[in-house]
Amino acid sequence: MSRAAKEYKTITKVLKEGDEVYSQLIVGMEPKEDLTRWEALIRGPSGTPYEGCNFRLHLSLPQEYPMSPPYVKFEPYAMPHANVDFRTGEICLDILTKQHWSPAWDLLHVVQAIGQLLDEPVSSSPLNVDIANILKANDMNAYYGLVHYYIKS
Amino acid sequence: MNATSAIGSNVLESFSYLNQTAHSLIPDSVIFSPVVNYPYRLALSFVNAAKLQYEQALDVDILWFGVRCLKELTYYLLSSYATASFVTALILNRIVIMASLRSTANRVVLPLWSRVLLHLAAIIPLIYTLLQVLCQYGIVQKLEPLEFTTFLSSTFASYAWSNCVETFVASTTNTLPLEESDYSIFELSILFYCLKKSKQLDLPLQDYLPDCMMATLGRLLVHSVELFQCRKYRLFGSTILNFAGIGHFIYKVRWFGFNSLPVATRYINFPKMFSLFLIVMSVSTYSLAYLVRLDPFGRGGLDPQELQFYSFMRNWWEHLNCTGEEEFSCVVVKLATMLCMGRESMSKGVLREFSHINAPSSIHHSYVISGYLNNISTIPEDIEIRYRESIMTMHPGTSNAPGLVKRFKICIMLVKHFFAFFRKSRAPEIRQEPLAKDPNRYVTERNYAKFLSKPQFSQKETDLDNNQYLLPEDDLSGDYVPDQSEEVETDTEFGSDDEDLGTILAPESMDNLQEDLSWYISMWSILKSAVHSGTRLTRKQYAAIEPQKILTEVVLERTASHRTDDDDDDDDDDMDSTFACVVCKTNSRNVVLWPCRCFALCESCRVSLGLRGFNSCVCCRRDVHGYSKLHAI
Repeated sequence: MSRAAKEYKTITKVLKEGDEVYSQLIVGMEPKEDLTRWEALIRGPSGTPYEGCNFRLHLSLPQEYPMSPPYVKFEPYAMPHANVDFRTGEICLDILTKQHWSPAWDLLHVVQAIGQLLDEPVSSSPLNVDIANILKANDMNAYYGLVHYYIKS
Repeated sequence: MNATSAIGSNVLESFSYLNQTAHSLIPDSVIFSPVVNYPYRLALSFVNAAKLQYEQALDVDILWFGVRCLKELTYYLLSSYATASFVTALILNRIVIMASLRSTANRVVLPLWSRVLLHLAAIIPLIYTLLQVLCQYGIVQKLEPLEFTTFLSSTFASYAWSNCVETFVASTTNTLPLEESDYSIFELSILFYCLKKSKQLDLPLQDYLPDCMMATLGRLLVHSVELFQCRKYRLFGSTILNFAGIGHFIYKVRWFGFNSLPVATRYINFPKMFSLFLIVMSVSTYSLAYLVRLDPFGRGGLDPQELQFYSFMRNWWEHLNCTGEEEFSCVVVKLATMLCMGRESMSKGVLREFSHINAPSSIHHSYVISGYLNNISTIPEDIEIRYRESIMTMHPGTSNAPGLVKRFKICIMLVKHFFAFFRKSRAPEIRQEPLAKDPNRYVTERNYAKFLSKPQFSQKETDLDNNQYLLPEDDLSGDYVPDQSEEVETDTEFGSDDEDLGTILAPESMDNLQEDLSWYISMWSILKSAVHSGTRLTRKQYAAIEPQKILTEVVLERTASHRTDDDDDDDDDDMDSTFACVVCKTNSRNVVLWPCRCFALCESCRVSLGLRGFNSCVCCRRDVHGYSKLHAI
């Protein structure tokens, strides 16, 4: 698990010094208990209905990390998104699958990719069918309204 | 009416079992006697008919094998021995269950008198049986030999009685009863049943006596061990007993052939013998491997600790986890199983040291060949060409036309190489002219040592001289192979002729430790081998012999030059992030992937990726066809 320790070092350094890519997105990121379980707080990207709201991410590293991808989930019942299962917080993202994962990526990359997913939902592979359908119909009003309804309540 | 009675009498004559008029339950004179007698006679004739049919079926000479087995089995199950063993088993079962009703928390010690009494009650019949066995052999003549069937049943009875006593004592004292795995009651009952049958067939009976003796002696051992409360020596006694038995076994086979052994004995002893065979095979193989590793007659053997079974063989007794109460054949079977499994020693043996290469539990079949495991030592550009060629041959439709072109190309290439060969052979003459001052020519047998001596700086006159080497960068000697890491340290001034090897070898000032170190690393081994073999070691040979030393030398030089740069702190951090392997972020990168040329991995991560069946580059996602090792400094 020396890799996780190295990443911990890098992440604390990045968050402290304020990297221009990550500081936009990440509010906080720290390990829970040991280095295999992490929690990250990410900021909703501007220009999306998620703007102005923070979302909690749970990351857990498998035994084989970095050979296998980390398991990443949003907090359950907190994330209305076309590619996120609302009830479990499960994320549908190709780089988090074993076929598409590369060991060269680290947790910061993963969080960045998720931030990008918030920005550009992929309605063709939905875990939340309602929002995906609204997006397919290109009904931006309904999209914003629905997301805000969930987030604000 | 007459006719029918005639037929009736005929039928009665030919089927005698139908005529049961002679049998009666109640005398005929009693009233209502027919009510009882007729059904009885009917039933009797029916049973007799079935019996006759059965006997006729069995009398056929060539009986189907399965049926014969069934017949034998039925006979056995109905025999007195089977019944006796069933009853004994029932009694044992009851004893154990009764004992289990009480609390089994702690061991109880029986009072001495009851212990002695109980065991003696078992031992005395056993001793009597033993004497009888010897009597049957004719060794002991004082005793009246029993009739054989009586002898068998008495032996069986004493054996069963001994089992009962042992189980009773053990279960009352909350310990496990000691049992014989070779001769259980059932096996013994089968054995004796066979014996009884062979007695009828007049087969030699002496063959079975060793078995009887072994069984009796085994029980005697159990009881004496219990009597003197030294259970842990049971294995010891059992081992001696079994070795004696096996010795007899081998003696029999050796002198009278395998067929002299009765069938039951063969079956009873098979597990033990097979396990022993396995153990002997494993141990001899292991010791052979050990011997080869150790190589006592050659020089410098390998470490036998690397053998997979090393730790197991060292601690086989601990692995067996014996208390000494077990029986010999149990232990033997257990040991053989352990030796065959191998997993035990895999998890406890030396292989656990390599846990960082976690072999994946399953590999997808399409991943079996991974480019991460394909070491390439030729020119890496080959890979791309070869890859393209392999693609071309994979599409036969298009490969036909290029076939001719390719052949033509090959011809041209051959011609080209032919000319190139001649040009090269003439090359030295041509190239020597412009470099008339090539210092290599000054090196002779007599004065070469001076060229090898280390630079002796005085503190002041450094930098300029440091950059001038006696031997030029481009080496023209025939054995020279361009090696990027090759550095030659030389002197700027010629030493005096009188300098001998000793003064060269001893560095004069210890100020420049860095220089000394690198000088020692390279020059020392070169000179040493020169002294040893009497020939001069060329640089190519040196590189081939000790690639690691050249590496360390270059590393030393690099660190020295870095130190002069005066920005140590930043450098270290940069080194960390830029030259650490992208996967583990710890080791330095030293693997280049082909054909994408990504230089991002360390050796252990490459192995790890390869074993997991990764097929594309972790950085650029191109397919990986091979790798080469590289030392970045």
